[in-house]
Amino acid sequence: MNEKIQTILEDLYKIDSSFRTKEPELKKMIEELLLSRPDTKFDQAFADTLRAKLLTEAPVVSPYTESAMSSLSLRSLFSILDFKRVGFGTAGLVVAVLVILPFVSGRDVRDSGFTLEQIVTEKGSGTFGPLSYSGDGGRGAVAQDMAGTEMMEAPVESGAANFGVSTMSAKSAAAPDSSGSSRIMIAPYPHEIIQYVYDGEPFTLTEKEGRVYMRTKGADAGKQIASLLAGADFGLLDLNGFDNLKARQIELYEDKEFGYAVSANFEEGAMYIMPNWQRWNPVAYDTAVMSTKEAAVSEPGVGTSGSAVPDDASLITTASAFLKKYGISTDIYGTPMVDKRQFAMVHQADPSMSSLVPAWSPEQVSIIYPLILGGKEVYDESGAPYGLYVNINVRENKVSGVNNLTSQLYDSSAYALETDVQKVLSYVTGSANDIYPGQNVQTKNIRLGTPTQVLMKYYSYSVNGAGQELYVPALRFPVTSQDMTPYYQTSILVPLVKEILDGRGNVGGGISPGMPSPEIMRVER
Amino acid sequence: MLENEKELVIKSKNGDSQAFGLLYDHYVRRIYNFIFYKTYQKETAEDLTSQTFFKALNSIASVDSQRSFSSWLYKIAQNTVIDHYRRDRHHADIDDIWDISDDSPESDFVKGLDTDRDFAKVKKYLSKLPQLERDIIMMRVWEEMPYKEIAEVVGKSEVNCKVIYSRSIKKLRDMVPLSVLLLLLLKG
Repeated sequence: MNEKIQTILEDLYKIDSSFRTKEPELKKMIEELLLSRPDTKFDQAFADTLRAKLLTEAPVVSPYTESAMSSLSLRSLFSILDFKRVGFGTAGLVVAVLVILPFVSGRDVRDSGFTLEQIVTEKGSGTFGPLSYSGDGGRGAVAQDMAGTEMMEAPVESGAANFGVSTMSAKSAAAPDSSGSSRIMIAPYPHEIIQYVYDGEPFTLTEKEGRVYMRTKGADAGKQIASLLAGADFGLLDLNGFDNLKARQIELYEDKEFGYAVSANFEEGAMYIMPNWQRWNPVAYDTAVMSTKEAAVSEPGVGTSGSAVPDDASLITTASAFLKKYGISTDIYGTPMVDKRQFAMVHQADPSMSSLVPAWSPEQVSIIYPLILGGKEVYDESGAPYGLYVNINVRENKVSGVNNLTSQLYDSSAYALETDVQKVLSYVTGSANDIYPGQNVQTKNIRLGTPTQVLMKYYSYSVNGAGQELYVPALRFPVTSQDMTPYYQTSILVPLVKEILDGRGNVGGGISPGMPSPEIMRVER
Repeated sequence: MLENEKELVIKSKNGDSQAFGLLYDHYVRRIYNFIFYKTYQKETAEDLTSQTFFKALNSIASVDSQRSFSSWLYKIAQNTVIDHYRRDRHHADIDDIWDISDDSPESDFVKGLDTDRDFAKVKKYLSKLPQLERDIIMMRVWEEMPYKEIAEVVGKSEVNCKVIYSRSIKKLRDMVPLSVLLLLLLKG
């Protein structure tokens, strides 16, 4: 015991010699800690039994075989989709089979089951080319929202390169973009400057290189998605006579009350489950026929009263039960959570509402199952967990959709990481001065805690405009407090890949501002 | 860390069950103890240990062999414990047993665990530390793990771990009330 204590003390002295002056009390405390070490009752028989079970299961686990826990099986979903009653009739059904099978040709899909495994192929350094998006003339980074809608931040009025200072100007929005396409823009907000303040512990950045992941799309991704669909027993024809058939997208739907539609995009390697709106929500929103519960909710599409929203645990239970029922494994995801940003947006957007409707909530609540890739949690650029989204319609208390069920094929490549902590902190907390010289601006402080290392979903655009869906090493600074209302970001992300960080500095991208309750407007050109 | 750990991870990724078995042999007691310290119940620790290794086995193909396997495995164990408390006990803000305060409705649950009077004694101090600091102290003092290994597990640098460890010890020292200190000193 004494030897152990002495070893621990010596250890401490090496780190901080001032500990020596407190040796008697430290000695007692460490002794107390050591004496309190619980007997963990480790049972070797348990370990041996578990080992045997694991090794029995192990042979079925390889990168190219089905894994019982990590597979995403939609077999049961399609077993409940009654294709005899599917609304597109025989001709449509034939088309569906035609488009699916080519993606799985060469495999006996019924034998191999429906798998969606996470497979990472390691490539050489810098394989994905330059990652810095520096050709956008100083615009903010183009982000993508959960539903895949392309969003464009309102341009910074001054065009100034500012690290860590995000600005929102009342005069700056609604500028039509130059692409000539229909864009969605975030509407203007009052003139405010966000100042990020770092309150966390000192930290170091020691890794000079990190793995960047790119989700691969195209034929293989399409095959992975198609393999899910191909499990459906269409009971139809032999299509071997057709050559080189390809499909970009299909949509199937259940023709029944509260039925679902399933949409698969083979090029993107993505699948979505959504309500078949023609048969969904048949409740007449007429107060005269509303039940007590329904009477508690407001008009459709506007929102529901907070009292109608189940607690987080119930929402997560509902979402998880849906995924389990339809065989969608969550093993490649972390702990699910309710996306509180929607609540914050509605609650904070108009505080006066609180007197009229004490707890105003959105009609639809999202449960996020955060993606784990390379052992790290993945976040989007807004600081929100990124992964599988299960939407629950609070009014009906039913799952109304599953978004972002994507193929899990990745290439990974090493890129140089920033190791200069001061540079990272400067990026986060850079001065808010000189953005509006001579003007009276209001500074809002957002306080940040000690960061953790995560992956950030990031779109990189090449010269020809082709996009790469990347997952890059990043630091996640949790928002510990803020004096801004409304505000919904829970964390701020800073990419650690040197060229991305440097590139943002060059074009004034800065940190994505915490857009509070953005009013969306479509700008038609 | 195992000498040939990277090689074993690559083999496991390729479906070599014997390689996974060797990784298991090296980590099973460590992971079990890590979980026990967060649950203080043998059956629960065994159940969560099983879940951890099955999850690891089924996700091994996605592991980046250039990264620390132990960090990945402990992360799974950590998340499994969090899931246990959040799903089974329906408390979003409880990550492990140390987060259950004496005056919470969950305190009765603690009484049913494999705790003894030493648990109450040490809980007074450890429960006031953030999870990371608590984990580092447990790994260093109870498991006698080298800093290098702790650093891999918690995903921080060795230097950072040392700093956090010493800072946590300082905090603990400051937390121990004078009367307790005197008592401890007199006892000696």
